Amino acid sequence: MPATLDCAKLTTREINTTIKRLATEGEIEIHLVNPEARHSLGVAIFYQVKIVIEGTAGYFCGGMNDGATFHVQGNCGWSVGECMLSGEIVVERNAASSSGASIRGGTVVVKGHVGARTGISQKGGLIVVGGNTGYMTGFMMQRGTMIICGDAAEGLGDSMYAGTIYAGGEIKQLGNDAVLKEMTGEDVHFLSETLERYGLSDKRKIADFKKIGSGGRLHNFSKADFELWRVAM
Amino acid sequence: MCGIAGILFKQQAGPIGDILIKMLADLNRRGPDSTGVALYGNLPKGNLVVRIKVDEDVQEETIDWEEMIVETARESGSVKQSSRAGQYIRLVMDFDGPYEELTSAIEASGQGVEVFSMGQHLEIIKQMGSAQRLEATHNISAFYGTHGISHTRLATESRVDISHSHPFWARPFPDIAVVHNGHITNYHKLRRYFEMKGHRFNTENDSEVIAIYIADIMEQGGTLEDAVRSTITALDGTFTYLVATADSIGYARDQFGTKPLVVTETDEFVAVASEEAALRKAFLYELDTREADAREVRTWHLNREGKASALEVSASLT
Repeated sequence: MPATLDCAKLTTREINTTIKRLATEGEIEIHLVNPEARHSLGVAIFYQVKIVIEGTAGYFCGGMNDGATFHVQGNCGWSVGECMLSGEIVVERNAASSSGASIRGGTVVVKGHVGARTGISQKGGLIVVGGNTGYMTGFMMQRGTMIICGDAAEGLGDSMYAGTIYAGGEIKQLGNDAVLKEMTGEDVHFLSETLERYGLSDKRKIADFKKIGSGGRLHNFSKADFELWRVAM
Repeated sequence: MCGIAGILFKQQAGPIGDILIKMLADLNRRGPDSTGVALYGNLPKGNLVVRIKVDEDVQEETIDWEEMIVETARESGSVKQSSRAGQYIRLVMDFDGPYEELTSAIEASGQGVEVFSMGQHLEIIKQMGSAQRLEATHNISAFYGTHGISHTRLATESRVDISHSHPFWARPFPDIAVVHNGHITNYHKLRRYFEMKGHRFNTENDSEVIAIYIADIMEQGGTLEDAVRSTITALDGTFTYLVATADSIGYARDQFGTKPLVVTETDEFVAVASEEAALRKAFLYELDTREADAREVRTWHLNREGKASALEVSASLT
């Protein structure tokens, strides 16, 4: 029997401290009911515990997560899993802006659409989006991997230093210094395995995916690239 | 920050006052300074409802403002009804323009008198403090109507008073109102331009210029979509705003998508709010929501004549 916390009866601080206390006492699964899009649910959880949010979470859900597994049955607000170190967050429906911002490790999966600046400053880990992404997704990406099954809005991968983005749908416009790269057999294998793991295989044919990486022209300043720098700044 | 919320019932009038007040009570987290609503009711054609603010509360009244304003309004057209609540006087008139003349005449009747809204459907009510306070004075939750927009303010520029609170009426264009979350950085330039064209500004609040901008385009024959879409490039700065006219609502988000907006739509209604938590206070079940993208513009239109299903919905991305 998993433990159940009724968010309607608790403050956000009480919810998060209770999750931590239950986890240290050996609880392996905790359900949050009546989340009603509350902000900061399950922030800074450093334990290997499964947290099921039975509904919609607000901003910063699972932020700074290190080891916990989240399953959000509804939508998520801004910055789901921000600064995550390890663990997994799966969102069944849509998420808003800055999903998976600055993650260093772990996996953020949003089965629906996400908003602007998804995976901004990503420093590791994996972000998987079943639907479309918003403006400037993958901005200043430094490491890690992102998979987008739907369409990508303008500025995809703008000013990315490194890391890899796979985009299956239409790319409205690539960002500054984001370039298409050749898909390898390894990429195909990784994509099909990952999409299958999260039940997203029917969202997009693997053959549709394009691989995007950094063009490297913004790594070091060169006078010849002045125009590119001017736009990027 | 600031919080914004809107609702439109597609088929028939609904409890828009109750829904907006519930959302605003939650959005006061994002803006505790003032709370305001622009509600659209359904007066018969030919009627004009005017909402006027005076500087005194009804309980501490030294001058009979209601009588004075009714007197002034009578010179322009017949006054069918007048009432008073808090700092507000509400008139129902038999009047069909010119609206600027009536507005100026009423405002000239005493110091601190300001016309907050005018139109066949529109009623703007705004007040300092929380949604609960607004509700206590004006019983907003009893208001039935087709659509409405609303705002909670966290003032970051211009004065903190009732005049500088949202929603803003697009004076003197009847039935147009705007609420805004963000900053318009080319406000002074735009204001100078519109003042030279003869538009009057009542406040130093940058958001007022959005209402005037949209009204100006519509006055020249542009559609609401044309007007709202052109603001994406015409306005500088950060914004997510809602606009409402006699028979429509719409929203726009700036080029970078800096200010939030969550949208949900069913066969019965469209509801938008800065945060999903606010929507959930008004609707007690899980909603299918999504966040509007940067540069996104949407409008919904109501066909008042054809009441039931005759509704035209348009959506577009610029």
